[in-house]
Amino acid sequence: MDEAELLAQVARGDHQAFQQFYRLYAPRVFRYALTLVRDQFLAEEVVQETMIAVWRGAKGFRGRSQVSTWVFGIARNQAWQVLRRTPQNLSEPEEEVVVLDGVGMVEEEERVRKALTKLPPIEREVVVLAFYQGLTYRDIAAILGVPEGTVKSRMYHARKRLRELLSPDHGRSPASQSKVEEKAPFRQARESNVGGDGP
Amino acid sequence: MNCERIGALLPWYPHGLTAEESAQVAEHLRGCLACQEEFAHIQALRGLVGRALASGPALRPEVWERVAVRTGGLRLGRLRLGSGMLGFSLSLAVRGKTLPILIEFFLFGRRVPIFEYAGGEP
Repeated sequence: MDEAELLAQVARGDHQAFQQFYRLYAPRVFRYALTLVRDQFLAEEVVQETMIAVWRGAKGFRGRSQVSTWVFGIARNQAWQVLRRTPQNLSEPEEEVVVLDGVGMVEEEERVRKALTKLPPIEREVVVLAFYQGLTYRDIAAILGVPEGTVKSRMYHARKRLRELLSPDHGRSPASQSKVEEKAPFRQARESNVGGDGP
Repeated sequence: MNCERIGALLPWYPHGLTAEESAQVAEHLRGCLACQEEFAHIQALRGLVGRALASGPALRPEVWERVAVRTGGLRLGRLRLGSGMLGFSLSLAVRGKTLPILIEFFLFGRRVPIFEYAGGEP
């Protein structure tokens, strides 16, 4: 059964289908939310509110966008709401995600995770949506509510920064010590567009 | 297409592009060593990012329980006291023969579940 069909069953109030949808999407939404809110508990809350919005809003999905675009668009809005009501100190200063059982992490994975946290949030989410969630630049543009060219440009800058951050010489040259801009949790969250299919 | 335009498409090559874009990138790659190298870099980066994120914290099963309580069956009622910053909430529902219950605190904007019973696994 494809995702749109599954969502149609959810729209008819089939709770079993919703459980299946949850199994399919909740872990993906969680990974995405972690890159936005950078806290395991807040990311779980984003998953929870996103899935509840899917359950309540499935009837409103008209199929004008991919199911994944619709779901990630909702998740982005939920992440914004969670961050808006969270005190600054809970979401801003963390260097890394709060991990409950962070034992035995491979050094390289840790290094990549740290490098990702040093990217500006608007670049980090493009990298995650493309490289981890496997979304096209068109889908990402729809989720973020920005032109496709902006997605490509953010990816270009993110790759450039990651290459620098992951190079063995990182931290030695003065250029690599340049501070990465990290202002708003993620710019343009208010303008997030879920392809007109929002619940 | 020149290297710059191809470079902008490479992170989505081959599966995230239209058939036409994919064909253009493939054709360019055949004759451009610099872009081949760039593509290899991107593939390596994709693998690194994928592994790094996959090995991060996992979503806990309790989240489903909270979702199930708020979506399953007929909601009997929800009592909320206080605010999102500091408050208390009790949700009750009926689903088949189960009675999903969720009691949680709101503490500095976070939900802290105290008791949850969903009567089902995702």
